[in-house]
Amino acid sequence: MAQRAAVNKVWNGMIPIELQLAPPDAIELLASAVLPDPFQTFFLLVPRISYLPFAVNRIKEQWLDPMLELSGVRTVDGKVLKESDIWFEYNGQPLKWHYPAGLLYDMLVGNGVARNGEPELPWSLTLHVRKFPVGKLIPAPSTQLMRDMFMAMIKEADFIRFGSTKRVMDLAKSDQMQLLDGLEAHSFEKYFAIHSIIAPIHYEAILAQQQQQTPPGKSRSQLPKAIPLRFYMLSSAQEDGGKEAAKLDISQFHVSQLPVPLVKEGSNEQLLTVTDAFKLCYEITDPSSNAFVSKCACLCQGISVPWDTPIAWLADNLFYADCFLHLVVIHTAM
Amino acid sequence: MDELGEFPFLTRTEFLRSIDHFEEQFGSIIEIRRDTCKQQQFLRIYKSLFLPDESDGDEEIDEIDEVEDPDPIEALAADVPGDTRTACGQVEYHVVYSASWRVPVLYMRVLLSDQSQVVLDIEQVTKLLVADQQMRGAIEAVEFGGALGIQDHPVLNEPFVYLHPCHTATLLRAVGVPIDASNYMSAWLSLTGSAVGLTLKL
Repeated sequence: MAQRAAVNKVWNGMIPIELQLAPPDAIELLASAVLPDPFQTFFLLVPRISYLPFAVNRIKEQWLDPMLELSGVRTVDGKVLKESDIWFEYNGQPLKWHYPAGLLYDMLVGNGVARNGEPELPWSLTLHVRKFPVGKLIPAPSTQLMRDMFMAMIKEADFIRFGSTKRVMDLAKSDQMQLLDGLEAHSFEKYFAIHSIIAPIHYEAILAQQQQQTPPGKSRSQLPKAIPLRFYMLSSAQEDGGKEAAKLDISQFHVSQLPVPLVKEGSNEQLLTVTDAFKLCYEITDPSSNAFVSKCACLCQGISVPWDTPIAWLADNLFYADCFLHLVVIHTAM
Repeated sequence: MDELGEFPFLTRTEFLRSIDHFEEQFGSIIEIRRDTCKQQQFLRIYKSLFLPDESDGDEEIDEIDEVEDPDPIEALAADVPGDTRTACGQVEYHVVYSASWRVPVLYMRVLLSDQSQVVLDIEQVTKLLVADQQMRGAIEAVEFGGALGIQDHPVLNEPFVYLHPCHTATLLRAVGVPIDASNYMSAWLSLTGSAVGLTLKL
């Protein structure tokens, strides 16, 4: 099916990452800023829809632990190296580990693409194992905490769509575990078996309703009230400065979350577009005010999405594993 | 009557009206923070923190810059007449509207006087804010990590401890008295705040 093919492609989208150990940590651990061969850098692929904490085990087992063992070191600051001490940094910015990897890339590198047209691949990140930035990052990342935070998003997405968290809370415990295990292990089959229970296919359902037909196996009441969506946009002060993409500060992104309806107000027919959603989110009430369309691009899953794309279509094809649409708005005008 | 269209849910406008009423009623002990560049308004409420067996009598409460009038803190500290406990820190409660859940959500930050960093450990925050053992058990028993979580503050974009809002609507529906914008916030706060050490006395 064409629809599943698109979803499958998104699921398999990867960010290639090149990791280097922060020099102060290297000096602390190994008394040298230069790491022994072959451990100088570590390469890994992280799925766009997945999260950095799920890669930490791999990083520890395949890189940090063998490197420390080779050098005869076992502890950091007198403690065993812990998952919860590890954090990632890009250009001086600690990365919010509870954001999907693809979203982080679109926010921090997508802007660069708009400026010079060259996406940074592989994405060069610095790994830290000490001095966790308390107050900037949610503390003590772990696969368990990531799973809990992910479920909070799934519940919220359910509530936005249907006005209750019934669909998620009614899942058997084993199904909830399967959803999480599927995400963690990046298994399409495991994850989607459960996803399809809690999330409808919007575009299909709404087209059917417009044609006054009921999709097979689903009742009319299945149509969600709203779509979970977030816009991420640099506050304008940053843009006016004309700064290099390299100086991007993740905390200067304005995150705007607003559940949006599938159709335009007062209509049963007209599907809400990305433009409409943007205007709802930022309270632009003038119907003819569309200047942002020519000045900005909207990135979703690394793709520059045409502004007139129906949200319903995006919701079916470019959603993230947490069932949200994460849309990064970047200025393209120089 | 300042009617609400879809109680227990609020629109953003109804939320603003509700906090206007709340500010009028509790104005001497609340500070409202307006963040105009992000077009969001939310409440900050400050409360002193006490440990039941605090024995270090020389501790001072650190004044936070945003507090314009230091007296409200002392007023809150003097909540219980004849209380000889000394404050060991301060709690900052934020009331922020959620467009997803369509209710206010309670965020909190604990600052201990002898530490420079906020306490962002859920277990520790639970111990500090939830005096009642039974309540503590109930909070910890909630699925997916408990009723208290840590998330980025939706306006400030920094980590805060927060109370999961998924049961707010159900709790509000169960309140016996009729609720409109003039008493929504006190009802809401009595249900949510009381779980985490925020009780207000007129």
